[in-house]
Amino acid sequence: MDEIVAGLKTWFDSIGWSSIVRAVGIFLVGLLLARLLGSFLGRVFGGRVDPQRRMLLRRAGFYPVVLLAGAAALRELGFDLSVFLGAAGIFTVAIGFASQTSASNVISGLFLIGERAFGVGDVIEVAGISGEVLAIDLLSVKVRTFDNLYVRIPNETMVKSNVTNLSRFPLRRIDLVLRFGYGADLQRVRELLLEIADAEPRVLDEPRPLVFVQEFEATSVRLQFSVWARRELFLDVRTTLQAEVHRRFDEEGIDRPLARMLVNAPA
Amino acid sequence: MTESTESPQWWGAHEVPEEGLTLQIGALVLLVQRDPREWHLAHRRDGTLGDEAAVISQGADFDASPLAGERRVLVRDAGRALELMPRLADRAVVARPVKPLRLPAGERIDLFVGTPLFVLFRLPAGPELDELPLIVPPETWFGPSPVRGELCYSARTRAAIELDELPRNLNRALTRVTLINHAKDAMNVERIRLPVTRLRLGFDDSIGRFVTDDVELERESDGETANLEIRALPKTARALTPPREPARSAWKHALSALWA
Repeated sequence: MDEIVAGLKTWFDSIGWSSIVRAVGIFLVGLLLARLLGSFLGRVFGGRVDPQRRMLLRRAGFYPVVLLAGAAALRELGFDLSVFLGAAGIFTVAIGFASQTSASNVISGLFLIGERAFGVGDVIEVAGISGEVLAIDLLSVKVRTFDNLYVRIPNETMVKSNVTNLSRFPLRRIDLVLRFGYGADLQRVRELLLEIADAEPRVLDEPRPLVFVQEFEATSVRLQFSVWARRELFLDVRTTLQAEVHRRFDEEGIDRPLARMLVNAPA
Repeated sequence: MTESTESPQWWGAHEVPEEGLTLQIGALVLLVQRDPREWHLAHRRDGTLGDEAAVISQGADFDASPLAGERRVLVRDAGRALELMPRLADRAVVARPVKPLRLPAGERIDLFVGTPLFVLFRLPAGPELDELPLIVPPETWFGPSPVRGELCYSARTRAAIELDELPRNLNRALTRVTLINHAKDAMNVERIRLPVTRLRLGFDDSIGRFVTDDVELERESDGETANLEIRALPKTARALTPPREPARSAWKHALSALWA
């Protein structure tokens, strides 16, 4: 321990306190410049790009300047940077072999950012997970699910999977699949469904609501009732329509098939 | 409620007594109460009045029946008066004639189209407090596909060519739309997009109706483009509310951007 302290003291004495102060000064000034450059880039180009690109721009301004400031500070302290560079070359090859997955994620991340299939704030569905995109980073995409869980999805998975962006378009179609008994008057059912759609102001007048028979099943007729609404109203409108369909069909006594179970009691 | 006045003129500044004020405009019932630093507002849509009537009564019973949109608007000084003003919708309105129209080549016709009205609450010479539609207008999409287009309100219209054909309605404003077809073929009109956010609203005492600036839609001879021109309010009307967006007197569109 004493040897280490003595060694450090000798090193401090050899480079001099003024060099240490200068190195710290260079690094702090560099940090300040990096922050300024980052926010400058974010402000100048921020209005024209999405939040994800704005974040990348800020980082692209920040990290290189911090790196340069760090190198200049080390140089001021008497370190020979060519040794670092040589070591970095060898280190890079070793890292390259050891981190193929990470490299794949990095390249996938660049594809994701370039492709712009989704951005920060969009709601996506991927590999059975749906939620709001918090960040698209070099290695992974961070998603907040609707039950408020933080999920990290590797970029490679994103590139290989089907990604559904639920926020891309302003409108959503709401599909309700309904079953009716063969005793139901299908024409009346159709009229009722269209009346329900017309009475709900959040259901768009156009594209027109749609009612059609999907299939004649063994014990019921399966109908699809589709309406369009604003994306952000999707859940509200769907819930309202389901409740209204239930209410109106009960009122009108429309025949709906109920699951029946035949139970044979042993004699 | 102690006193009530029936009058179609529900807009303007109203002195609100301490017990509050109830305004019925057609089916909409508005309840208003004031405190020194807040306005208490609520409404419900189960009014029994016809579309042409308005009643103002003293007193506001906030506990009587389920209310919608109950809210407190906080201000430095509530004062004693509240101003209510009619306003045109905050999005363009797509008017769909009940029966599709056909305009032969070279024809020109005037139609009357009704669009929904909103009511604006504000302090006299003060800030806007709130706004709500007199009748919640249905929404619609106007564009070539669900991906490209614009969210609008929808209004079914009889597209009457004579004013007398239309019943009086305090929930709607009438726009005189002049359709001109300069093309060599007939034009079918199933929908007309009215840029109501750029129109002024007025009241025409001679006919007892809300009216807007007149609008002229002109299909050009190439059949593909159309001009939209905003004219003035009818001469007999007095202006009530300015347009929500800066007015542009005329602009050219692809035909599909104005009607279909």
